[in-house]
Amino acid sequence: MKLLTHNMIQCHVANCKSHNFPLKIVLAEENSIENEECEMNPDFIRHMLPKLEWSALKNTVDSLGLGNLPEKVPSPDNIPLETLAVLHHVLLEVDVKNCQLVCPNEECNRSYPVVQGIPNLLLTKDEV
Amino acid sequence: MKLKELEGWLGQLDSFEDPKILLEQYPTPPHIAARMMYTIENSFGDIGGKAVADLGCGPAVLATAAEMLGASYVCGFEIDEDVIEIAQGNKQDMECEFEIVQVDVTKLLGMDKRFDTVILNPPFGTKKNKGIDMVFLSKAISMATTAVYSLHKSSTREHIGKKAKDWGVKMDVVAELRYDIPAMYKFHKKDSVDVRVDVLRFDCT
Repeated sequence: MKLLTHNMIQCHVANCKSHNFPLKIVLAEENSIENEECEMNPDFIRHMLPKLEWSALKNTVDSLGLGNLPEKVPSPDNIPLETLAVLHHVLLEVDVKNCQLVCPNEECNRSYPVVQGIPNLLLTKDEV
Repeated sequence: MKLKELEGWLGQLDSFEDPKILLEQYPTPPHIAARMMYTIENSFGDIGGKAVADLGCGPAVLATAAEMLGASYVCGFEIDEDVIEIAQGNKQDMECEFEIVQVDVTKLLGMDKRFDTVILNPPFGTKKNKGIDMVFLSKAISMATTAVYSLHKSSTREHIGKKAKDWGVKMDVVAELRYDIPAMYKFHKKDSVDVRVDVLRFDCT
């Protein structure tokens, strides 16, 4: 699971309506994050800025200690090179293989497993 | 990449091993998938450098095609664990990077406008799932900022056109193809059936 994917996933439990995003990443073991190096496409990163939930991304990147992002979303036309590099890395190269995604809503706390990089958002009958 | 080359690659992908009729699991033949995806990129430029979602991705034929045609980010959404395993195998064989999320697409939440392009070969909504094609389609439209491309039986074109009007999106028929459905299930009496299908484009701008 790339963090770009994580940036779009909220808790899916029907009754969980608030504070249900971003899901907290609880890593399964030391080696549950891999890096898949790929070529940077700066235009794509700029293009995606308006589609990101910035504070959720920053929060997640900080909690995993993956790099420094500014507090506020940079403007696409005026984004420093180093920020571009961090964004490329955290959005498209970092690959979380095994973890739990935990709903931040304390009344919910539902945990979704990520196994071999695939988040499972399926619910049981009484959660729908 | 040339059309023939794309079709050749897609022809090497594994398909459903044990298709489930309740989920209306029919493979997207390489011939159809390649033409659909090639048209989307070459006539509309909606794949290269874009964020693309594939709803109900199955063995990830369309997702693989999207990545091969230069999409910068691709995510397939699929409910069925068995078929996800096949998609995962295809991803490794083709050295692809696309993402897979296991979820019931009809219950997918919070993805509004997060993708440029959404592609899908939805369940056609026959048998016990009447209307599910429209549920997939409206979800797709909510997720895209540019366009949705979807495969439907040509016989349902008028009905879908009316829905699109209700939703306030412009619909165009961008390709008419023949979908050769091989006999896969017990209730299939003929060896294969030729079904006419449309690739429909929904403008989401």
